[in-house]
Amino acid sequence: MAAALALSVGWSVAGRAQFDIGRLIKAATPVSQKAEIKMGKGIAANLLGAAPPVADQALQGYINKIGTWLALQTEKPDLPWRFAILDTDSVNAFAVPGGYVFVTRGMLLLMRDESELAGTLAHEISHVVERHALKTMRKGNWAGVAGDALNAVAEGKGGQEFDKLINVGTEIYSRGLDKKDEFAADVRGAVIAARGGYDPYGLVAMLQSFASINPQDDAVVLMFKTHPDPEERMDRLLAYVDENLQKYGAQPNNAERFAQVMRTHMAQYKPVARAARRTEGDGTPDDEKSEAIKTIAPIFSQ
Amino acid sequence: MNHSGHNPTAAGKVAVLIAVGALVVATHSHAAQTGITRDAVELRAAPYSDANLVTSLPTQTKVEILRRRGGWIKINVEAYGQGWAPLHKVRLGDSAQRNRSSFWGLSMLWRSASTGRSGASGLVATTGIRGMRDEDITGAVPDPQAVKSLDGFQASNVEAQAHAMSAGLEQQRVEYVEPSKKKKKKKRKKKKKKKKKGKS
Repeated sequence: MAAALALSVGWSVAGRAQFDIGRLIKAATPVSQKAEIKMGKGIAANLLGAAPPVADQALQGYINKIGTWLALQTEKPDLPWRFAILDTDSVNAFAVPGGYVFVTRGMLLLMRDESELAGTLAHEISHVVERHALKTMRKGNWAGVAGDALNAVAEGKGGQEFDKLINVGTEIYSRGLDKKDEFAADVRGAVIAARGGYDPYGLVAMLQSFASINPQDDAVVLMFKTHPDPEERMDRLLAYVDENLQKYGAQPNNAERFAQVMRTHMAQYKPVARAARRTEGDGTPDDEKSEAIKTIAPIFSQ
Repeated sequence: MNHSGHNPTAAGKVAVLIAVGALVVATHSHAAQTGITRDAVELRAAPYSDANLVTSLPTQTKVEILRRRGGWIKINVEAYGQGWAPLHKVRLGDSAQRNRSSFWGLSMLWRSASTGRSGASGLVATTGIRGMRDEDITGAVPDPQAVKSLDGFQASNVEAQAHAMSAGLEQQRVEYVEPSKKKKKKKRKKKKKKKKKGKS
């Protein structure tokens, strides 16, 4: 009885703190790893609702082996890291608190070797390790989400508040992180890739590909909106890699293994059949939305 | 016209097609990709900044990209042959308009390689790919089952290490160094260039 009373008092205090003096205490309490993982699960569920994992065990296994190897090169090897290729033609990648890292199939198809993939995964891994998404959640309009309230909510003391947190966390992916954090993730990503034995110029090459795409192309609109200009990213990263990591440019890029995996994947790829999952759709059936898939499919059936 | 003195039969033609297809499959990892120089570029005999100069290429020169080694790419230039150029100086595609269709063709190589056919019929339409949008993310119906399914793809640390070792990846101790702040000069240069372009 006393415990229940204590809990309810504690909860209302936390609730008040969130709405009244959130700004003052937002920096006070760090988000616990448990809370981070729980939030991450919720956010990941939203992203996978938008774009499901590609149904290819071998491909997903490949991405996880590489991603896990790279995560072992950081200060947080023990997070429950999970990697996945998402079944969408969009070019994008997502780093979700708790260790979920997603790369779209559209982005994968731009890559030419394993070091480009490694650099991309390492960039996302560093967002998770540095907790950039959580940092962004606490700024601006979301400054009221105070650390201790966030922990209380995420660790199971309030259902509705938790849902609100997940929505706030999910919105980040349509708005983007701090520019500085993107530049930082490029640099840290190159370091992580080099530690893993990869050629760190792979990420530079990936950025060159992005810089070569028409920004009006629908496949990249969201990524370009949420990240700094790719040419600027590439020039900055190149300067860093040339200055600090140049000798690692002789490390492998594993083009052959990457090509083998891609060949095998392409030979059996079928887009994931999915019912309209969006709560607000524009009414267009899925098969009208991707000319790319229509163009590819006849080639496969021949 | 018969140059070699024998008639090419239908079977012979098919054999040639298969051979070409096999060549594409065999060499696709070093297969060509079109590119265009985004600046004046020095074409060198080897991937080092003090290697012999083959020739100086003007900006907007069309090239064929063969492969990459670190920050250098090996390219083929009509009239000059092959050489190495800095990666960042060669944009993919064949137009200054950054049109994806001309280098999206690379992914067509994956597709043609898997079917054993050379010469994919066409470029993927750039219209019609509907990209992910804000509302796709914020309006999504959450899929917690899909999150659970990720456990089935997970790799253990041991598997990850073995996978790295089998491809000759060697773990390195690399310090993270704070980026230096030389960038400002470069930025100013770029702004000047952009202005000039606008005027012409």
